[in-house]
Amino acid sequence: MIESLQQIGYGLALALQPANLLYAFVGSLLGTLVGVLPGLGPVTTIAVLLPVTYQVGDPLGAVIMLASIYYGAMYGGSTTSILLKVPGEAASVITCIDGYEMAKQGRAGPALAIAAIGSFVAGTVSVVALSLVGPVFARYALSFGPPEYFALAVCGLALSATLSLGSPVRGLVMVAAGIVLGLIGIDTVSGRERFTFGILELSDGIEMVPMLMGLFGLGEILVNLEEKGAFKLVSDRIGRLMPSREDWRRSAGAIGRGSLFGFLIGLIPGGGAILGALVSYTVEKRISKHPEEFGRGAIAGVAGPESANNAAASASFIPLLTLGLPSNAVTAVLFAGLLIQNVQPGPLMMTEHRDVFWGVISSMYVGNVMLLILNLPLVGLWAQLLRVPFWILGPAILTVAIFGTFSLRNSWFDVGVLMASGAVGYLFRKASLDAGPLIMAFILANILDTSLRQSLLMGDGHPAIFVTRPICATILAVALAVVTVQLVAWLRRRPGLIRDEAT
Amino acid sequence: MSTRKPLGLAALLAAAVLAATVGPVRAEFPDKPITLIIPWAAGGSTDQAARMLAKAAEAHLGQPVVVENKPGGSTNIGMAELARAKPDGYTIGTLSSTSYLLAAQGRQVPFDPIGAFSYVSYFGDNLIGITVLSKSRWTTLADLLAEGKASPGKVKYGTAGVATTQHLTTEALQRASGARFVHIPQQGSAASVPALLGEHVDFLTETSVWGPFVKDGQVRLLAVATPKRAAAYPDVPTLNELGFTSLRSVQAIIAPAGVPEPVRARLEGAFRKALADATFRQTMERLSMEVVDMPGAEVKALVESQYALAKDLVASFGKKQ
Repeated sequence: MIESLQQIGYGLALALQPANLLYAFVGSLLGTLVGVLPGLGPVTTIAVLLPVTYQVGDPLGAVIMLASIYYGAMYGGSTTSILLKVPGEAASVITCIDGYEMAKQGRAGPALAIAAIGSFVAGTVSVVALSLVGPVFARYALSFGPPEYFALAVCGLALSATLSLGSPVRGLVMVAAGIVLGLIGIDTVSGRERFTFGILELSDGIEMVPMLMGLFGLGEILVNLEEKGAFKLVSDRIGRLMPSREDWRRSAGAIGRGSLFGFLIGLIPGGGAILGALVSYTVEKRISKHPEEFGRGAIAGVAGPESANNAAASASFIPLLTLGLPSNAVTAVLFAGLLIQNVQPGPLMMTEHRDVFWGVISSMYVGNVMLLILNLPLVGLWAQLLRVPFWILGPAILTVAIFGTFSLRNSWFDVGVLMASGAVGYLFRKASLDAGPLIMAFILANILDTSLRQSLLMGDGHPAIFVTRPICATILAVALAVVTVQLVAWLRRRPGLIRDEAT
Repeated sequence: MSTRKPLGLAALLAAAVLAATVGPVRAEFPDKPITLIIPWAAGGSTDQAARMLAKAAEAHLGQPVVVENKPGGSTNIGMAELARAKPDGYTIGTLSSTSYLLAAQGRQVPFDPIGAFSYVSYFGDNLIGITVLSKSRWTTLADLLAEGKASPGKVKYGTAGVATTQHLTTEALQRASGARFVHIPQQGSAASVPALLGEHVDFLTETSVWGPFVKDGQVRLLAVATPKRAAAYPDVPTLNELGFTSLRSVQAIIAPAGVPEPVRARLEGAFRKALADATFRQTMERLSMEVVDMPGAEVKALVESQYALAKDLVASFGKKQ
């Protein structure tokens, strides 16, 4: 502990150097901006900026900037989700559900405030956790092998069914579609292509970023265009910013739990901000005294997921820095950023690049304070960005989305995926189908399939491996419990289901 | 259009006069920037090394070399684009063994994996090694192979994926020694190390991702697959020394088939001279890649023989399954 404190002190001394403060500020500002703008996310931004960081020359400054773009986007993303029901970046997708409802009820201010405060609390708590216990936690991550991943994927799918907004049947259809789409591409275990129809570009599967941008970003833009209005800013004024006492009472626990779950999920390689937000939302809905409010403007449904996505974003630096293990798309790009700076992430990073390791972690304390200032008193300013007439903003976002997509892999095919997903996303909106479960299933399909077969290879073909490994068995038991509870609830509700469906 | 004609004529005339005074009409290759297609994402090991090499080659070519990353389809997308490019020497690319190994495995590719390219130069071998946890009971490769023979199918190993150099090298090892291991393909080299450290596999045949863990003592390197011992691990034997065949993890510069020989030779000269560049060598060392110099003709012969060996291996393990 004492040693950790010394290390943080050392890191803070580096992070507070004027140049590094400037990098953190520029990164936070950029992060908030790309978080606010739909269609542009941290992956695209960091990827686009990688060549620029090469010019910075100083590895610490460059990595501080890239990292602050990542967690800055987690702050900014909520603004757009709440005001427009478009996720500013992917991890804020859950915030759309209740944040937008709150805004519709004229409570955009408290929603925005609680998102920023929750993000700050979670960000700070997880940075403290990161610097104190990160190196220890990293060892646990290693015991997650294919059987555990399989169990996590099963659990995730079971959970995503509860997240589905409309009827359970619609949710299941979307989950099934997501799994099929997720299985496209080369099968890891046999090396054979599946469902690619001989199209070379599909051999790696459908690229996630353009698909996400299309389904959520473009779909939304198209619907907006149809309505010929401005971007559907729900309220002209943000209104009173500070949450009421009742709001605080309902959010405090959600922020705490969101920080905890987000942090734990961020530690797991493969877990990320979206999953963290998803789990937090599901938990809050389950334990709430007012579950009927979820989907109709529950503040806990904003506070929890927003805290969780920030905590997960910070926590995902642990597998990245201590294992050299990028756990999601953003950390994968950051991984490349570190390599460009000649810093090899891994177990030796703490000794070989002590300055970068502790400097970056300490800069997160500083960055979170900057972001709270940028996002709380100045939130009105960011909302103004969204007040720009839609005929300017829509095409501008479309352009940025296309450039961003192309820049990822220099691929026109990905731009095509973006367009096609945009059209599908539009149709989904028209048919009131929720793309959330589809995306979850899409991400989990690959893990589910690959880890199942890797596990069976490990266990010489016997499925016993799933119950003999304690972590795996526990997670599967949780999944089973979730499914059972839901099934029972569904069977009880069943007579009323058809009527529900009709409304 | 007609108003432009006199101008065009004038320009032609001027050019003719200039040509007459300066020398040959066609400027010497290269007279414009060269595009280098890297079929991997930016930031990977091939990308980092090739970028440094390209930078060094610029000095010898007198023209910029513009790197274009075309990742996807395990290099197939970039390779297909290179195969389609005009064979004028202004579009070149990097070749990794991954590309032809996929074809050897029977994957359909929209180009001839060997014949669609002309071969400019070699630049290095990825360091592939066989590693176990330091606390494991195997201290030499012979120990590991003995257990593979004594209890076939019990020992599990991980690689970056099916039909990679890592996988086929281990298949060759099993065929030659009679040991039987179970392959658990991982999703890329980065995912392999945690699988070993978490004891989800018993050994790894992987590129140098294990480097830091060997250094800090958690992982033991039993053998390397490079033709010569690796500079960083002089005490570790090569598979060849131990009497086994290993596949090369080729890193080369290629161009579309049909590039005129003088142009190819000019590129070969520049890229082979660039191998001496200090920054390039530092990058290669950091990435644990061995710098290897080889003329284009030899690269072609090497790739052909590797392709044949890989096909043979795939046929034999295909039967086993």
